Amino acid sequence: MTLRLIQTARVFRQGLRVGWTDFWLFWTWKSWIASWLLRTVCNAMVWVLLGRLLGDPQTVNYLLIGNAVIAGPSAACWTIASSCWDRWDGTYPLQVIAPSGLSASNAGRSFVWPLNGIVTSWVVFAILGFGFDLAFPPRALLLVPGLVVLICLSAYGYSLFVGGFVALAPRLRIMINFGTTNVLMALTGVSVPISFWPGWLGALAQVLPVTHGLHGVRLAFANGSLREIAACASQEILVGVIWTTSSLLAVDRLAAIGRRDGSIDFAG
Amino acid sequence: MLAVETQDLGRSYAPAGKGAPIRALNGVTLQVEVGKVQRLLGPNGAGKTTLTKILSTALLPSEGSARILGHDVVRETAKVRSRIGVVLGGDRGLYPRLSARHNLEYWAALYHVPPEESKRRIPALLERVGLTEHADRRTDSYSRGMKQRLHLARGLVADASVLLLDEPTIGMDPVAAREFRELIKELRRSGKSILLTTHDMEEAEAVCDSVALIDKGRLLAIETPERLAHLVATIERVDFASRDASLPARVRALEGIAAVSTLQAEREYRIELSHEAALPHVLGFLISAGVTSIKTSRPSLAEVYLHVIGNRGLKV
Repeated sequence: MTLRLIQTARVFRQGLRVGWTDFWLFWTWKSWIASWLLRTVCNAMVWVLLGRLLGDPQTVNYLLIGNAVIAGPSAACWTIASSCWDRWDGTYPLQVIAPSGLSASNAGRSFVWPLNGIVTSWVVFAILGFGFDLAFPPRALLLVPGLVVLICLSAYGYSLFVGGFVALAPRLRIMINFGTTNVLMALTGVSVPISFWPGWLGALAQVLPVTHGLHGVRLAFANGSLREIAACASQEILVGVIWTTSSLLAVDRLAAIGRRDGSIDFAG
Repeated sequence: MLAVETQDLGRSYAPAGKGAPIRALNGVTLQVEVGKVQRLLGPNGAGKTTLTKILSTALLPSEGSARILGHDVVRETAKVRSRIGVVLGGDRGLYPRLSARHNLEYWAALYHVPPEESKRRIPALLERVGLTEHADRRTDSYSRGMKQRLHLARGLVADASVLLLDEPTIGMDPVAAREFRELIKELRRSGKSILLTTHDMEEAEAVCDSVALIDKGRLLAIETPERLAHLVATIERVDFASRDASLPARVRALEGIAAVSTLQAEREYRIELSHEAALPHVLGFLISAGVTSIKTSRPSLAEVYLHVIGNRGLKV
């Protein structure tokens, strides 16, 4: 068991090296700040300005917190699109037939996206918080960075699961990537309270990443009790574990579908 | 125990539109002994890659069975995967932004090669395929031949007992291809069992114990290169040169002549004999006609291939 874990960790680390190398092929620090970060900040700012137009400070804070948090999971959702990259590289069939299987290497290669999300969300919080006079009580300063990490990781687990399906239909990757992100933005209480939605959508939100963690972040800003915040964090962890476990179980089984229908092509 | 064993192996695909299923592989029965090199020779679309995919566990068969070192590829997939090394042709299947060394470290991890063993094995493999000097360069700057050599190193990184090589010399220059053949010989000496598909006739004759001819999903023949040549060359052939333009027509009229064709060089001809007994008579005729340049030979595997498969040009 221990050996298996060590082997899996090694595969994950090697996958992360591939993802990290790919990431810095797209971005330099300068281009990351000038394009990715700037776009994300502007995106969140539009919502905050809408709140200011409504003239309600509570609404401004609600939108600011929600949109600063969602910047992280939105970045983590790029895991979905990048699940196809091994198809493009022609490495997918070789991963499928390797003794380690697909899941650990795929998870490792995609892990750069939640890392990007965590840093993005922290920076957006700092910029918008400073720009719109968001009060950071000590509890929020201490707990929010950690909650953002949990939220990004649970969104990553969810994206890994969805990405397993996308690997079977690579042409749909961008559509599913943005569709998934939009679902999270709409349903998890980012800009619209969950109570706004019909009951069944509210119930769906409970099993999505972001919902519980974001509620915990709002409680931290509202000086909520540590017990309540811990409960939210625990629920977010639980959701993340469920999605991650599901993805680990599903990815190699989904590859088995390709083995059956002949879609695992040696040519890529 | 056999390294590779297939029994009535078949694979059908559903066509993109309506219509009958496409049979990519049909009743293939093949055996590769441990420590032997088996070559699979056939035109594009013959079923070579389909067979390789089934044996490497990337594809399920529709019927029949396949075993690697006694392990069924369908029911004992994990055991098969830990016993095979797969090399694909072309320049894909590598991480282009990583160096050759990092690519090999990646695949060593996926094959659960212990880290200490990786540290020893990877430099040795890079040396073996001639990439030591370029080991730390990104592979997207490699030539196609260099990528192919790295593919080979990747296939060997797990030190698997059975190697499945699908068109492994695509893109290699002649020198690299010759070195590759030496490497195959070395691997055979070290006890590896190898199933190799390629279009390179010279390679097949140089490095394999037997050749399986495959076309339209069916195995046509499995023989040693020498015996396969006898499929069409039970009779020798005679090449000669003559300034006498009427001589080929006169030769054609002799008994025991299957065909007389013109070779590439001017006034050089090839006689195909329909039976071996005609040889002394034909040689005597040529000498009496004043021909001084005469050569008897046997067909190469390439000619056997064309004879058995049929010269169909670019059709698949």
